[in-house]
Amino acid sequence: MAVLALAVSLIAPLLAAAGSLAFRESWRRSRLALNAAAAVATAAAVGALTVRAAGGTPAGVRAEILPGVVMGLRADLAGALFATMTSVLWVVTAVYAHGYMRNRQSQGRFFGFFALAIFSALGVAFAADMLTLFVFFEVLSLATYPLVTHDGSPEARSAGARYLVYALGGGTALLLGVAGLRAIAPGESFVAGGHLAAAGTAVPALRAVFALLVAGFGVKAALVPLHGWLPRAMVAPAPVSALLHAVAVVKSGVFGIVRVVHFVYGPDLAARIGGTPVLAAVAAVTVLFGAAMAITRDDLKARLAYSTISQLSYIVLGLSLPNAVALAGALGHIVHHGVMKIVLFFWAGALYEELKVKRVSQLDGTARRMPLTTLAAVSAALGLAGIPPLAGFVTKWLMGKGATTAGSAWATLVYAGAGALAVAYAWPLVTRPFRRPDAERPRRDRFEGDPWLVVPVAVAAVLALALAATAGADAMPLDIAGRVAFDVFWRGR
Amino acid sequence: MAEPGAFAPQLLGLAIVVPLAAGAVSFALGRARAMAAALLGAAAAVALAAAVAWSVATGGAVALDIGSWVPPLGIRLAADGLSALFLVLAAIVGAAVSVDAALASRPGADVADRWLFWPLWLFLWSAVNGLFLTADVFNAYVCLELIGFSAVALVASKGSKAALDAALSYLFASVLGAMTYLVGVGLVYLASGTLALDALDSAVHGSASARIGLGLMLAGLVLKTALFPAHFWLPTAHSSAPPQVSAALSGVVVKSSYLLAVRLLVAATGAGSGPGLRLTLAALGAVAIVWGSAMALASQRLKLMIAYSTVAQVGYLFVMLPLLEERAATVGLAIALHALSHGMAKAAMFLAAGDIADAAGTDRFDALAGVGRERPVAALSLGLAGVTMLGLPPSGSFAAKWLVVQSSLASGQWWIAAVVVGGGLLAALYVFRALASLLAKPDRSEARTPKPRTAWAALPLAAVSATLLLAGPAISRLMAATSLAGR
Repeated sequence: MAVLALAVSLIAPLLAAAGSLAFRESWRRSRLALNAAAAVATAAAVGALTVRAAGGTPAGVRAEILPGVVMGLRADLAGALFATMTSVLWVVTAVYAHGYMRNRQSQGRFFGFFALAIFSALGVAFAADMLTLFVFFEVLSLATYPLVTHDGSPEARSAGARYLVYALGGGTALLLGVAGLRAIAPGESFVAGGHLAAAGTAVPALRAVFALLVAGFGVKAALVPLHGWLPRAMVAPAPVSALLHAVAVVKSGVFGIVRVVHFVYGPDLAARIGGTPVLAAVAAVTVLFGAAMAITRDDLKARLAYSTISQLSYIVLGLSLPNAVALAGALGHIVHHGVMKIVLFFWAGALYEELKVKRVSQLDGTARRMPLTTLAAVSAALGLAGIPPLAGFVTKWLMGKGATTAGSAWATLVYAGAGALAVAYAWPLVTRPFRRPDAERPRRDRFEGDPWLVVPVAVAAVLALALAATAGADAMPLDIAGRVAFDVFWRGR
Repeated sequence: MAEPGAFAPQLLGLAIVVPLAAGAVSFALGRARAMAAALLGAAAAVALAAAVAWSVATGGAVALDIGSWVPPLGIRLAADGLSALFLVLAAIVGAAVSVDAALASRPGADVADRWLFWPLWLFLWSAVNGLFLTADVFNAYVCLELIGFSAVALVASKGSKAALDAALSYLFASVLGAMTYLVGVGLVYLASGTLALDALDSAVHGSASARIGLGLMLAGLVLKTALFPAHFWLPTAHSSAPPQVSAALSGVVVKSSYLLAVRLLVAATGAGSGPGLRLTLAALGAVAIVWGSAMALASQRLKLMIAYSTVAQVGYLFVMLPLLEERAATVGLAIALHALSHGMAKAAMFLAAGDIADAAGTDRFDALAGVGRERPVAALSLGLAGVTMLGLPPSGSFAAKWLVVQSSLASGQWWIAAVVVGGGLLAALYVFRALASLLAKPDRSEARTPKPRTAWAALPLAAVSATLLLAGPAISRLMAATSLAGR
């Protein structure tokens, strides 16, 4: 049964991809039905897998794909956490994308590669070892390229070219890192708390492999100076920015770093070879840089993109600290940030569709025209800024607390400073929609917008609020994050 | 009752005779029914390749002495895992090429109104199978000549001036290669009195003229395989032939002479084909990767780009040779995976390019904007085949790259890993340049007349190649019945 759920969680998105590509362009409703059904089936299967993992018997398969080359899938708690977020948000995004893509060309291609990206993100979540994770990660990289260039405009093509340079560079670093890892530990597979033994391997080799792996994942996690592709990739259609470039793709990079630090090296060894201290420093720089850049951006999607860069490194900083509470907060933030950010990108897409608004300076008066959507966005923006008791506050608080406990006062200061910057970049998003517009008012001939867009925004916003309200409850993402952190720091030794 | 597998040896003979006979029949039937006969023959050839692979996988290597005459008098055919896999490659590419040619068969098309395509194509298939299966260096020569002549005729079949020029240069290279090889065979035979591949080692040992002979044989094969700098004939020949012919040439034919070269190297390990020779071939392979990729990037035409990509991809097959001695099993598997994966992907690229050129009226990059929307199946096939060209997972060429990188790290020959990994990045440049030009928004808005043709044969080829890692266990099992360790 468990293996069946694992199969469904991967095959359903794959079928959605194949079907979306094969359907005629005009079969919009069939495509919606297929994608929504696949998303629901995937989410249900992932739910079953999460229950198994929480019960201590995660589902898994292993096979010797070539002589001496073993690959495998295993739905452990950490993977289940990432997969749950991705699959649940896919359900919402499938509906939103149906509305958003209505008048756009090449919808079959769009939905096909979108589902392929979801498939590979789930593969990243459920990979049992670094080689398998690498394979899915590369498929994810490639599947995203046609989405970035979807528009076909010169701007989209140049963003796509830049995206590829970063993706292929990162993929090459990863390939070498995984090859090195398999040379050190031929039968590697993830173990909470790490499986690499310090004895018997030269520290320089351990360092080189760590650096290659983290740099490879760091491209997707948009660590400075590897972040340049992300703001440019916002030229993609809104659902791509929302689910892939705020959630699935970028967090596959973060998730890969979690696997390297906590499931291959283990926090002790990673710290001893100097890996996590350097990573923490890079993440701290990225947190502040991203937040500062976000303040200066007037383009709404660019501001959100830099905010993502900053928030991703909150997570990387948290997981680099030698502390279980910080790790729990970081893993929880993967989910909490994802849900909040998807609300904001949905909002940005709806604003553009309804009012052709794409700049922060054009937001004045939009609340009157689209009150529900604005309300959803405001709640998410406040959460993103870390205002208590919203979803972003809970996880940021845990990370800050963990930093203090770990004796990294500087990290606490970074979190505090970034929190202030986040308030600064989120503030205009919260206030400006309610301002009276100077010049011509937005047309009031219509209330809100296309329900295909508005309902998903509202649903995602309610999800974010629910995450905050139930943050302490059993089986919620934060609880699972805490159990993963417990396994990493205590069960494993 | 015959034991299971008792008919396995006869299958080897049939794998050569059936396509040959089908070619003769389709020639005799003439224009009207050539295609039907040829398609039947193609189906039979595919079934035979599958049967040979099955019997090698279950029962190990098989050999057939025709008429029960044993060497040196008789003709011996032999199939180990590697030959079986190459037979399968020829079958898969052959099936796709036949289907594509049949679909393209309408008045005014590149191929179908020249009915000689069908017999020539089946002769080529038969000769390629013969080269995969022969255990004797002189019969290999006969197959090389048959391949050369049918391939040259197929290239010329388009009849345009460019095609005839390309065919002439191809003919020159082909004859020169075969003759060089034949002189080598003569020297080896004079010195040793044997033509059997597996007796070559002792034959060549200690005889200077036999060693020169071996060198000439290899030189001829290198020319036929288009290893840099002997690749001069390939780009024009492969890019000016009809798409189905280009697919067969780049996908299968260059691999046939390569396989014989590897067999020679392995058979004569003890005598003159030691590390120095392998390193030289590998160095040429490394240059081929860089040069082929650069020329692919510089070409202004899609088909020319694909042809130069073959020059680069042939380089990979040679770059891994220095590892063969130490890690025969692993590198043998890598050779099989790369040849299979590239063969299918490259054939898919040529078939897709044919479809694209059909839609745009030309294959010049500057005229291809928007064709990706008109021919989505062809564009998708090109993209999937690109995954193989780049060596990205889960393609077969990724699996090969992974094995080669692991072997080269373990044996300390880091430069091979560097070349193989760097080559993937070079491929990215030309593959994405082509995709970007297809996906660009067209400058002009007038719609081109849609033509009723789709690259349906290309898509499955490209898809199988891009996911060949999943066939890893089956391919490994076949390769377990192969020994590439020299004696």
